[in-house]
Amino acid sequence: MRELNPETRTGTIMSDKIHPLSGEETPVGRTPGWKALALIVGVAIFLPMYALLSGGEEVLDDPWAFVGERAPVTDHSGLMPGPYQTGEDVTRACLDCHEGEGHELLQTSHWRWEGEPVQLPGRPEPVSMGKKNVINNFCISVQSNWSGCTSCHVGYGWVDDDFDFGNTEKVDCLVCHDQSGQYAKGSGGYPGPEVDLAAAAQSVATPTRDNCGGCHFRGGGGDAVKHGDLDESLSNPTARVDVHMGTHGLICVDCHTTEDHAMKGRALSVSVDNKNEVQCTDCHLAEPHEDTRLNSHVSAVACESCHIPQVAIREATKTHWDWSAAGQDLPEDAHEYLKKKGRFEYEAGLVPEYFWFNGRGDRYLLGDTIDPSIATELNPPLGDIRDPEAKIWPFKVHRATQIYDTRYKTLMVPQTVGEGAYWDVFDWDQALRMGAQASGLPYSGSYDFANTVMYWPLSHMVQPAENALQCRDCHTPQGRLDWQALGYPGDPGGWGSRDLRSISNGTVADGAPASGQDRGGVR
Amino acid sequence: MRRPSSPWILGLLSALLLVLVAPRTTGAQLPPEARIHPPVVLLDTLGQNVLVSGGPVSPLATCGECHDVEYISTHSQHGGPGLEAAAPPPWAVSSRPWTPPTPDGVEMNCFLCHTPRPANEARVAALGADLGSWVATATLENSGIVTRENEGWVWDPSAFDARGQALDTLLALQGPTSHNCAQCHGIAGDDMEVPVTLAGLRSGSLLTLTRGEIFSPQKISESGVNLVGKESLARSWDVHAERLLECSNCHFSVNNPIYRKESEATQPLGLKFDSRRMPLGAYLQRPSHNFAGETAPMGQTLSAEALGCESCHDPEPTHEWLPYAKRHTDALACELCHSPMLYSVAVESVDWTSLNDRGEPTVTWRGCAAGCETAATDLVRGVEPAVLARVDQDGRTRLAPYNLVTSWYWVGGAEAEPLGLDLVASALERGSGSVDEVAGRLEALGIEEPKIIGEVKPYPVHHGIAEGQWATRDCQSCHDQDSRLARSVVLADSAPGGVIPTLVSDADGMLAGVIEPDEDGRMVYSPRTASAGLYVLGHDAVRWANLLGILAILSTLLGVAVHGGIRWMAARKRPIGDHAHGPPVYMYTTYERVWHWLQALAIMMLLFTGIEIHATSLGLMDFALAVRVHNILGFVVLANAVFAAFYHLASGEIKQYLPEPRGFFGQAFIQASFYLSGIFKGESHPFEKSPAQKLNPLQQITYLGILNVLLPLQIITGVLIWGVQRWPAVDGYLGGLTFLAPLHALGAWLFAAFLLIHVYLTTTGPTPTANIRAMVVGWEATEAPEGSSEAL
Repeated sequence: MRELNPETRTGTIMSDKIHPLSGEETPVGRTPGWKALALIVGVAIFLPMYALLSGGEEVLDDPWAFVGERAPVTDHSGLMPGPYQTGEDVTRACLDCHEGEGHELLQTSHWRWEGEPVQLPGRPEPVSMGKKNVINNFCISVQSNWSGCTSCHVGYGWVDDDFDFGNTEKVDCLVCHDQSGQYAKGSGGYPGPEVDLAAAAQSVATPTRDNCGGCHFRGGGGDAVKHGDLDESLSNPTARVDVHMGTHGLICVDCHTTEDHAMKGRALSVSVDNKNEVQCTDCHLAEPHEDTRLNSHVSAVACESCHIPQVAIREATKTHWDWSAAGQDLPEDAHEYLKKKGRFEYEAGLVPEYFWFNGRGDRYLLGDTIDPSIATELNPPLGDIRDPEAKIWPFKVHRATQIYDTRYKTLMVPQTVGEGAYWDVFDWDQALRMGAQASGLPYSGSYDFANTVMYWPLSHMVQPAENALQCRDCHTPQGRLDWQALGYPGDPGGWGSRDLRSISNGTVADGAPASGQDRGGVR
Repeated sequence: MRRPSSPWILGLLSALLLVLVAPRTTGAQLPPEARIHPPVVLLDTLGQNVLVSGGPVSPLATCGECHDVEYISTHSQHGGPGLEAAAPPPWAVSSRPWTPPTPDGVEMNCFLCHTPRPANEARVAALGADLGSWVATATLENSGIVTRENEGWVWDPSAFDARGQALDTLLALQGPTSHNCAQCHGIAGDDMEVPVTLAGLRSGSLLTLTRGEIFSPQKISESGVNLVGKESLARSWDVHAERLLECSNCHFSVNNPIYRKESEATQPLGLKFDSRRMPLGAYLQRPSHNFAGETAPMGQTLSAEALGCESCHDPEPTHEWLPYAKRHTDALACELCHSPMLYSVAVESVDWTSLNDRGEPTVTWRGCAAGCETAATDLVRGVEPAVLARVDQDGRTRLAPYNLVTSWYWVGGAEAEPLGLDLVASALERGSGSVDEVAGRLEALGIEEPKIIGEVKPYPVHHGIAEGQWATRDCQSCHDQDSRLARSVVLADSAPGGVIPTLVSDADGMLAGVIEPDEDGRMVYSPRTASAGLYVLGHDAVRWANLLGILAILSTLLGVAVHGGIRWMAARKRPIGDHAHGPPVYMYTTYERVWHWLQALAIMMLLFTGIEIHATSLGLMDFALAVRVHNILGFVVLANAVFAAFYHLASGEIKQYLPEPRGFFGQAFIQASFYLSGIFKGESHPFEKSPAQKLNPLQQITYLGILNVLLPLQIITGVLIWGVQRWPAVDGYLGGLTFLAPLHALGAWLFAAFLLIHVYLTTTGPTPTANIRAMVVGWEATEAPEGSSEAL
């Protein structure tokens, strides 16, 4: 910038500063032009505004920033001309282009039905387990019942113990990617005879809720049976059913993202470690509430506990299953009694039960002995009030009465599916002999029924703030939580939160020592 | 002279008007650890176990075994001496609605407040049946200890243990819950299961009847009230109820050691917390039954304990989002924003001069679509509270929400005594008639100077509180022409005899406006923010300042149009000469140009944002943003002015702005006559513009005014308005916003007018854009040398 002294500006004008104005747009060389002027003025005005108006803004809760973009869909109608005779024909056609995907899939739990070895409490070495080899208290066990159970296996032809888990051509691509709506799997996981395989192959795209729901909504043998928080109302959910899928239109794979076809997510029934979990905090802030009092809950209470005040919102879910009543010729009702399966109880609008849970679980394994006088917990969630990683979680608890060997005190695997099996001839003894052969469990020949319990941590049917639990739902004598059973001396609203320092010294707060014996958290 | 006392009027009234629905038998039992009361032997007045005597239980004898009942009864507004007076409450039977309650006539017994499921209906019925000594027994009807049989009550032996004590599981003596208070005070409680409905309104539901308040943790959207727009109201009726507060958490016993808080006045210097307390045992023996925040029936605050939101809350950290938070909290009661709407019904007016066949007054309601006689099912619209001013305990006068209940009644005699209803009824019965006719009949009945009195009783809103998300937080709710702070409230659709009601003398608040009939004959209370000493930006404007400003703008525009028109016509007549002019001159230094354009842009943006702040309803931009941007720009202008002043002083350029006193008028006249005539003839400017002499005498005098009067005025008033919550005393001394804001607005109008003239006069250079171009690039074409007058 050039400064003129007053003398030079008054009278004589130095020639090099004379600027012929006529017809000229360019300003004089050494004085700043209008652009510089505009810049200076603009900075002088907008810089303070920028500095003062944008200051002090808090980190915004922007969950969308963490929701990935869905993969673009390639139109396969011209790529998959067909015709295809078998599912394997389709898979071969897929693998022509998607060469590596078949091998990717062979590593996944959807294929293997078995996880990585996990060290369970009190056992000498890590155990590999999965759907393949654990027992549950619904249809009990896959073993010996392959052809029935594997209609939900992402493969073709798992009908006995000899299935080849290394054959990529047996991978069922369509069950997840079909969008024709008419693809359905039957016995052994093969597509049913009515399926138009070419139409299915041409329709492939990103898996939708219906693809996942085909198996996961119908776990346990029918819609809404197993999870309580997953049922067909989530196909086209209303806002009232689930805020993510109803209000915001998310699909399963928006949260259950994949890497090399390996799904993110855990189910305590078959996966007892806490690796690769889907967490609310994947997208949401750890302390997302405006209200500090609410934020003070998050160290001990899972988001799900307040934001899933009830499940089975539209469809009742099974809460009790009494196998011992099966085999009688009684009036049948899918929600009350079936000759094949016994007596049931269902509950709609199920209010969860609440327990400490650190994401890991223990597991009943085939061959473990039970105490038939008490209910055996098949997959007890781990964690208690002294565990800093544990939070109070909501669970659907499924209670059942199922068959066991009275001599060996082991839960047994009855074969239910197939010729001569229980559902064919209703003979428990024969079903157990057949099942024992497949599972390798010894069978003494005497059996009875014992109570078992399964825990299903809830994470769907999430509600927005306005439908979430309120203070009174827990912090009154009539509230949902049994504080003492959870290990508190009393309602932490008055007694204060768990003090992990004093817990490490053996007491929980200013009160009773933590028992840690009971799981109970529910009245 | 006793004046009518509206609560008691309403007590009677609502008893008559409202259908009483079967009482809910649910009650709230406190958590086990909160119920420390040992089992007791129920004694009759003679001190005998009622199980033996079969007589009525005496709370005095029973509770007096351990508690100092004399102390309690003399420290209680809830019960007079004895706590079990035989007389039923006078307002329940009086035919004279304004008969004030006599404190010793109030029947209250311990069980009504200290058992989880008191049978208040049975109690009231027993009172009505003149079964005085059995009233306390009747209150226990729901407990299962005693049952009603024929003429009296029978104690159930199975409800007593071997020692003759009532089973604790049944009697369950405990501290009062909201459910107990709800028996008499309005719809309240902590029940989450039974949806709130207005069917719960009963004779004593004063807080709901007189204010529309409901104290419940339930979500409004899930309540049973037939409310317009209910589905969107996913908030609780009262956030305190939602957050587990019971009535007694705020309205605590004034000697409860838990709540003891020494006033700052007596707290020894430097002592933050005095941990000494009255022993709990002493408190339990003599618990005061005067409660914090309690008001006596006649309105005065009883307890020494002041109770306000700020007893527990500090508004500062939670209102950081709010511009001028302290200014807001100094001028507005918390409830004004946090109880913006009461989603219920409330009494609007009671006309004792118009009685029905049963001798009942005409009552009108607010908040319901039509009538409220069957409030349980009627469509409810909710009540927006009226705005009055209130002097709070700390001396601050703040606007606060109220429900206004207006009543009219006949008075007569020299003392203007209220007339008995039987008298009024008989005057009305002799054929209906005008007010004058009724007055005539009353005179005929021997009443001197009968006349109608109308009075407005304001009932302050303290409940029905919403948390921040649901509170009023939109600036435009108040900072707008249609401001909530000035929204009119209909007091009554018509006034008997056209009597304009006045505020009761013992009112809790002060009118911040006027009561007058509107064109439809309705009585309307119109709050005026100015009456409360407030100037609400965006809502308030001083008319003369605006008129003056608009006049200045219009006359400027007119002048410019006329002057410009003549110039244009004159220029057309002259032949277009060659653009002869002298050599360009470096007229404006870089700094001068930066200063000028910074000022120009900032002032134009100030005017724009200022318009939004001044007249929000134009909706130019977001109000809060406009305020913040305006403040920042103001300081930009201030900084620019300080730098410029330094520059001009240091460089001596200031001289250019100072007119030479000698010959100034002559020169100014020459310049003026140039603008008025020479300019049209194509004459040259009379004073040559040069870097050392840029301003002609008229410019000098104008800029002297603008830069030394108008600009400082705007800056000073602006800074004062900006600083109104920083230095309220300074602003108050200088007249407050009511003076400063209109002055600032007037200054802005004048600035805008100057801007118009200023821009217009820049076109009078050698070419219309020459001056502007010069201010941009610094170089200016000078006019043709003397003699060559062909320049445009």
